[in-house]
Amino acid sequence: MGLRTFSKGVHPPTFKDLTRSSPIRRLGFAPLLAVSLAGHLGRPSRPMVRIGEEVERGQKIAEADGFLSVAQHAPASGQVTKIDQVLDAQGHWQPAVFIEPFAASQQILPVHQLVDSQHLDLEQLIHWSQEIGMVGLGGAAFPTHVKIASAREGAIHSLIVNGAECEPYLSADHRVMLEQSADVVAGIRLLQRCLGAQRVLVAVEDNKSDALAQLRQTAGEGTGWEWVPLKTKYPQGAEKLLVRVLLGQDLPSGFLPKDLGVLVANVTTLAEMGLLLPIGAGIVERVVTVAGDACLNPGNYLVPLGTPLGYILDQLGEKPELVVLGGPMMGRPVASGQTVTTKGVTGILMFKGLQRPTGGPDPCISCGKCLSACPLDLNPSRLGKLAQAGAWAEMQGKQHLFDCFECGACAYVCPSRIPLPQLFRAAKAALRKENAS
Amino acid sequence: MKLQAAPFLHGPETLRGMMNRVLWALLPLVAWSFYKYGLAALAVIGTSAVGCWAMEAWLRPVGAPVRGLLGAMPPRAPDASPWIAGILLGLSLPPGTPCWIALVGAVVAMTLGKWAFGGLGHNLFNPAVVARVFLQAAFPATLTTWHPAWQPGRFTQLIPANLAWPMMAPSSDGISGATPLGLWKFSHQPPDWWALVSDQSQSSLGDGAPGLVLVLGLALVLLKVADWRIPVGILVSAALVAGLFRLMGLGPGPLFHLSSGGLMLGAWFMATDPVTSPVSPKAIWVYSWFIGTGIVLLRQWGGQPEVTAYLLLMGNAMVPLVERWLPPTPYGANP
Repeated sequence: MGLRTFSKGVHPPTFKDLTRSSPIRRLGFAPLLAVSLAGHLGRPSRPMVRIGEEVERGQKIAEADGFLSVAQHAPASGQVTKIDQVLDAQGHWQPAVFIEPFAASQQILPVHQLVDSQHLDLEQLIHWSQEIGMVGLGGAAFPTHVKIASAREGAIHSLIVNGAECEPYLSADHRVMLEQSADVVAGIRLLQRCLGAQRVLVAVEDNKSDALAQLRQTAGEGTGWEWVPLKTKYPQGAEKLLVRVLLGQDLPSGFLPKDLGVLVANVTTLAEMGLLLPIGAGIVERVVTVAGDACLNPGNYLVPLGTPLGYILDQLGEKPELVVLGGPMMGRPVASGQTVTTKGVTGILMFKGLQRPTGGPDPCISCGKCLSACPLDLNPSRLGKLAQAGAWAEMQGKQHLFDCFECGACAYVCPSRIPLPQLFRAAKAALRKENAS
Repeated sequence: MKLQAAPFLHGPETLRGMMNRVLWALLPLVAWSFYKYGLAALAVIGTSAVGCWAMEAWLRPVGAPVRGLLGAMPPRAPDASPWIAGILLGLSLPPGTPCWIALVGAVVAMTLGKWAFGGLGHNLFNPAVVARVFLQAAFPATLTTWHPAWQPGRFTQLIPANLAWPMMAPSSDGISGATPLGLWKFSHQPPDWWALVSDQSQSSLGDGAPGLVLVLGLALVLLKVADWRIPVGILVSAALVAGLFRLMGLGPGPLFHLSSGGLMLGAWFMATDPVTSPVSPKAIWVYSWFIGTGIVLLRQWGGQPEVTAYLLLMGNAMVPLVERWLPPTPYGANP
């Protein structure tokens, strides 16, 4: 049987062998942790601690500010030294709670409050997801309870478990599926039951077939779940493409999976749900792939939230010139070692130098290679020319600019080395500004 | 730490690599032309190619401000595109073309055909074809004088007309003939398809070997520098229309049309020029079918036997409009 996949896309080298075979290791506590209160999509959390207060690992230190927001928890037992601002991956200053861990702070997970997860209803699940600070750990950091809450409006009939992990270098999801398969399965069960989803589709790229087999074995017989190996191809893990590949439906412009009765959840999110929700504990750490040619000890690390990058670079890096949060296709470069890890950081890539392509930039020769790569069938060549001409309106209208999720496949194949996603980001920013005024 | 925008991974393909591969694919055809026409082929193709390269080298710094949209770009390193245009122009000329005319063609290709629009990537029309059509209009007699191939002394001497002085009528050596297309069109001679395929007929420097062009064209596709849909669209549509005419008893049939004149070279090497061909899938089929059907229709009912160059230019001209009318269907348009 041929593996399922979408048409187009690209096949960059995966670089996953460097990290995927070694077990998840723990990273120690940095001397000062800064828990960003805006590490998720939505309103920043409201701090609930005072300066000088002693907090315990797992203790709630900030509460959700409204529905589109989540709680935050102390990653280490220690003392709150200040509530100040910290740099996020985008280079913005965000409010944060600074905690100086005690020398004796342990890394075990404290049970906060036992939750009867076997008998939760939808409303309780929404409450507890927000309470434990759950967000999409695949990188988007979108509050999970908001996704779940869409089941209030209309039935969610399908749950897609996203284990594609198509970004090169990253193997965090892979390790989680192997080492925390019971947690993943518990998370899927919890969500399926509360949502009342009839279908569960577990989708994993075929370069991680061991992970799919592991999950399948852990789940056992009689689940009725569909186990779908996908062809290894970038950007296989994109929500729009998973919905197309698995359900044969497209999400029209502006639609979310919930509008089709679908919920897509990343495997690490589900693992954390399955692990933390029954004990009512908040997210205090996450698995991060650390790799790159300037990384001395590549691997997957359980990194406490709020760890400054400078600490990780000191521990694992060798004078990197370029540090990227996330994968090499869609990740963000960081300017400063003061930037702290948040719930959305899936990878930390350290490079000895800039990762410039050979040659270019040259003018677009309309070779059409970007059209053969764009998974959404857009016309990146035309979009690029319009961006250079400042023709924002046509980009937004006829060329569907806002459908583009900047996967970078067009730039990957471009022989003229035109920085297309960068042009698109600039155009989107200009349009947002224009539309706002 | 330094900053750079995503993506941080890039594929191996480069513009210069693509251009070099096209150039490599053209060289066997140049070699064949040399084997067939001897020094005359080298003189004409060489003049045109070196002329294009020299014009490009001169215009690249001068033309930079013209680049307009990409005005802020750093000066670019040279690529093989002027060599490709020059060789294609040379291959499209008759063997007895005076070198100075080939040079005029090279100048026209790089100025009117390319840098008037701002250089590589900005031209609307294929530079080699622009120059070919310009020469056809400016020197109609010379450009329709066909010297025979396989002359015994071709490796030791040029065709005298190659060395004609500018603006002087080339001395007639009295042995020129007509192409199979001309014979069919004007003398109503039955088409000799075998003469075409076995390369015994009179033709432009690169037109006489449709089989070789086909193989090299397939190589272009395999080397990922040409979109297969364009030549396939042209050849299939031309064959269909020619077949229809044949059934109606009007024309010489698909095999004759496909292997005569510049159709094969145009379909594989000129129509596939990425800059002047469409990228949107539907537009590609419109473009290629327009060129293919147009060539056969115009050969049948037009005033000239060979019309490939005109159809290529018309195809180029329609690209922006067709692409506007037939953009790719994006994800989510048909839920």
